[in-house]
Amino acid sequence: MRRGTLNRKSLILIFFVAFSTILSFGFDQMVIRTEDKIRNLNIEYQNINNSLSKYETISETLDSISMGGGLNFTPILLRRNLLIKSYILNEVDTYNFLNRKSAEVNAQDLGRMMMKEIIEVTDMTIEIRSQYAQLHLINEEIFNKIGKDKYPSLPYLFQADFNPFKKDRDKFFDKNIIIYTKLLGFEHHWRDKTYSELKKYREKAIKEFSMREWYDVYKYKMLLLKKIENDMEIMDELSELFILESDDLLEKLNEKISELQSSNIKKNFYILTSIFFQIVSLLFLLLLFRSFITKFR
Amino acid sequence: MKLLKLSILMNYFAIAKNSKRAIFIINIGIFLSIFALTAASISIYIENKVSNLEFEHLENSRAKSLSEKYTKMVIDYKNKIRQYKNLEGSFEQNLEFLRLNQFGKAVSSPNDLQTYALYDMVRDEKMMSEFVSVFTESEYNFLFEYDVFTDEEIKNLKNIAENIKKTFISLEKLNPIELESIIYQRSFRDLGEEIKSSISNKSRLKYLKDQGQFEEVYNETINLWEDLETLFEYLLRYFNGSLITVDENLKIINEEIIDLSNKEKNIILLAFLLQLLVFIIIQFFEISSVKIALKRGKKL
Repeated sequence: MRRGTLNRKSLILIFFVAFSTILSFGFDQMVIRTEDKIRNLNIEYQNINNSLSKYETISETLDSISMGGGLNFTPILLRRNLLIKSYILNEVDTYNFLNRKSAEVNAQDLGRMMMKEIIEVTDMTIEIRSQYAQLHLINEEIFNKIGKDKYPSLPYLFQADFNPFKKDRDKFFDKNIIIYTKLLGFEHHWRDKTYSELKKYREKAIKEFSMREWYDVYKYKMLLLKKIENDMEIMDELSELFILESDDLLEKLNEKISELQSSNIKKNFYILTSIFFQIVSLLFLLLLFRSFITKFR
Repeated sequence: MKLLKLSILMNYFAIAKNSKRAIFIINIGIFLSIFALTAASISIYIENKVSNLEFEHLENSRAKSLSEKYTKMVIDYKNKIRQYKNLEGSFEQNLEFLRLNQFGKAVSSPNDLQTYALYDMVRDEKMMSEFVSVFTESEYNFLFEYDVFTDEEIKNLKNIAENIKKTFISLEKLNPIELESIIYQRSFRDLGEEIKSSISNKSRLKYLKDQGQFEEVYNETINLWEDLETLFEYLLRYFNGSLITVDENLKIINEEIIDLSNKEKNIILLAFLLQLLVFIIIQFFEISSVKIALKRGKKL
């Protein structure tokens, strides 16, 4: 063999050097691709996680509003008939049950209590509406996406109706129920009036309302409570929908975590394999040099 | 452009003095690269094991976060039942207090006490029934998985599940529309009739809860709340048990990962020492053989 030419062994070693270098390069590329995939997966994971925490927060807030409402309205619903029954009993009292100066004073006291109760119901509804409306306003897009088709009334839950119960008017003695709505003191009815005028209107009602009108106030209260209950039910079902969506998102999040985990494992494997082949390549290069030396010794 | 001309390199190695030095350096290189290969192989093997453990860790972490979520839910439900029971209890006490005189007796009726509680239960009946069926319908009860209950408690739980099942059957027979009508649609005449009926009621010594058309199912419902509270208590213990188990699993996995890392370090160190030994031995023989070859060359 002429000096400077390569023998078969050297050629095989050169081939292995080249092959290992290509493999190392290939695994390097795989690392880059996996890294890219991990970056995208991380973005997707973050997006899902943000949606999940948003949905969970909404559902928890809806539950909290519902629970607060339940705690406030349940005592009123439990004692719902006591005052009206007392009023009726006072009107037909043949037993002198009530220890007051006269039936008129008793009636006024009971009327005041009934009025206080219905105003309490209205105030609590306004409070719930305010909490719900804020939540709805901030998350309108999500609310529409999740529940608008099923519940078209979503934007109007707990909203005050200034001319309510049109279908139930026949249940009232006086069909012109605006006289009761005005007792509640909505801005809508008292826009250009002072608070003392509202107070006077209420005092006048306490003095002048008869049993029929107080029964109407009772009826009004019960219909109002029924409407609140219906709205609460929608809110609870909406919360359920958010929980279902959250469960779906949690499932997706778990999938993403698994994908991330497996990509990370792959990336580590590729890095190690790339290093492995780099070393193999170096080893063959050294063996090649060694073969040159032994050849010329 | 060629960066390295092989012929120049070959010429360099052809000089005996250079070759002796080069072979020593190359041998060190070969030794180091074989050591690096061993270390990389060990790392790949250990890394694979650690990855499996990490998957297990992930699954346990998920189970833990679910258990924590359900624990919170159970506490919320338990509080809700307790609050409702308190409201109902206070109202019953107030009514009974009112009924100490004739006026109170006239304005309170069994319906006033019983219907709302029943209505509220019937509205949630479907959901609650589905929830309870998990504990009652199947022979296998997941609550016993973590071995946190005594035999007596297991027996008690089975009794409670039976009672709950029975109460739900009674509740299913109630008509929610009728209950709704009694609560929300009372006409003036209905209220008057109720007052009359209460005045003429002769059962003075009976509490309101023990009167009226819903008496039996109402009392069953009161017991149902107690049973549900106990059931939630058991559930809470189950989730606490699962949390403890998951925590222990996580601890074991963490220890295994640390143990594997330490093993990896030690194996690599051992491999280095062994290979160093082999290298020294080979080097000794190679240098000896080169020296002998050189002496022969001089003699010739």
